Amino acid sequence: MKDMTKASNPFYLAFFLLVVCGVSTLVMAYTAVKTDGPIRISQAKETADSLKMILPAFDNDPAAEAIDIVSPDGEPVKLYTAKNGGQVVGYAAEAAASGFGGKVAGIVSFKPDGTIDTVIVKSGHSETPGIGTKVTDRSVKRTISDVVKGVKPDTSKLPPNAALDSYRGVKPGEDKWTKEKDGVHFVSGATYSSNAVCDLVWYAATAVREYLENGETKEEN
Amino acid sequence: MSIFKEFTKGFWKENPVLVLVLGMCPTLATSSDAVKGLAMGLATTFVLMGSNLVISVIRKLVPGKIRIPCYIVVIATFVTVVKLLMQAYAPEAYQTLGIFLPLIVVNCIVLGRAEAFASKNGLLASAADGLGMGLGFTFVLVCLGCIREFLAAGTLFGISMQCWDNGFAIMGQAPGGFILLGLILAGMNLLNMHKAKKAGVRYEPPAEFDCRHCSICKLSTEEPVKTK
Repeated sequence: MKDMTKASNPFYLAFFLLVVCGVSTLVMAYTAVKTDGPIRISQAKETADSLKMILPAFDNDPAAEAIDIVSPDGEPVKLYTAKNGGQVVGYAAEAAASGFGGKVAGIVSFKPDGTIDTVIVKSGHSETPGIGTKVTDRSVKRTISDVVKGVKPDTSKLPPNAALDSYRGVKPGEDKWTKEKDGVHFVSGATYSSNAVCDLVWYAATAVREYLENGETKEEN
Repeated sequence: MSIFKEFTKGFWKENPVLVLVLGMCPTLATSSDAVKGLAMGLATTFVLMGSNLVISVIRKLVPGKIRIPCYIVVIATFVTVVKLLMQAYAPEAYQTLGIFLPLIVVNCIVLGRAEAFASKNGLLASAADGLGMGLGFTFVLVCLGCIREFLAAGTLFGISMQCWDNGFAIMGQAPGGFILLGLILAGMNLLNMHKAKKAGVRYEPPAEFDCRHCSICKLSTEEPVKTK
């Protein structure tokens, strides 16, 4: 800085910035290379864990054999097929819809005939805590007395959620479910989140229905 | 000022949120529950400390004209590193923070400390300043998060307090955050004014806040008392 000619020479300034950017690029590249493996593992683990929770026992690798299909509304859906001994035991479809605070992504599992089995919403959405999360989250309810008593939460099965569980056993009809029709549960005060869950289940269910109707010929593409 | 003082000033005297009123966007957005606030606070602390350290090391080399771009590049590097590390080893926290994690780059607390402190002070002092400011930020986020989460959903860190399930919905959203933060700021000013009154001096906001156009702090003292 003492050397005024040096400090105000535009070529020197450009060179200095280039060096700073170069060093930081190296640091970022090194971190990216080092964390690439763990990131893949943790992402694959979340999907694999979800699929294991919502599908009946399977012996193939649905995540590796996933195919991309499109719902009749034009929404992209990822389809996982669970097989046991070569026999299809269920499907799972991943779809997303807009909620109150951005995208809400979820995985819906189906019986082999296309009936909805279990709906789970993936973590990472930004629905309002305490309001929207009543519709989306299957959180283990822990109370302060449980903590004091030392009661461990039961993680062996999926915690219930009235809104998500209301889709169980439903088959998509001609029209999307609405509040007025029976069977599907909307939570008052959380309209956007309820709609988002309804939308994503609808996209997944109609995509799976179309996939089953067209036979599995599309799989070759 | 000793290193310890540089560290502790972030908690109260120069708290980034409550006194400097910096970084309002992440404060309001990520203090809707305590866990989110904690994750955001710790990520910011790491970035603050790292960028303060590096900037204080290179402060004599950086030409004055391009210091801001250099600082931003350093900060962005640290944010990217934190983002990748969290994605790999704390995926849940990574997903709850969403867009607010990369937005630490433009958090004015980080650039503010780089420009106001690390570019003028040595290595140790800058590290202490970054750590103190970061932990002060975390402290405020967790406090706000606890209050907002409790009022909105009746839980603390996701554990139900068995008081109510349906609280004040507004507290879970940005307006509730604003209202609560406003009340806390008012409370802090009140406390500082009381202290000043007891000591017999008028509360004078620090000169760098540039309060020439506002005399709200002076309303509390009916007649001017001797100024320190």
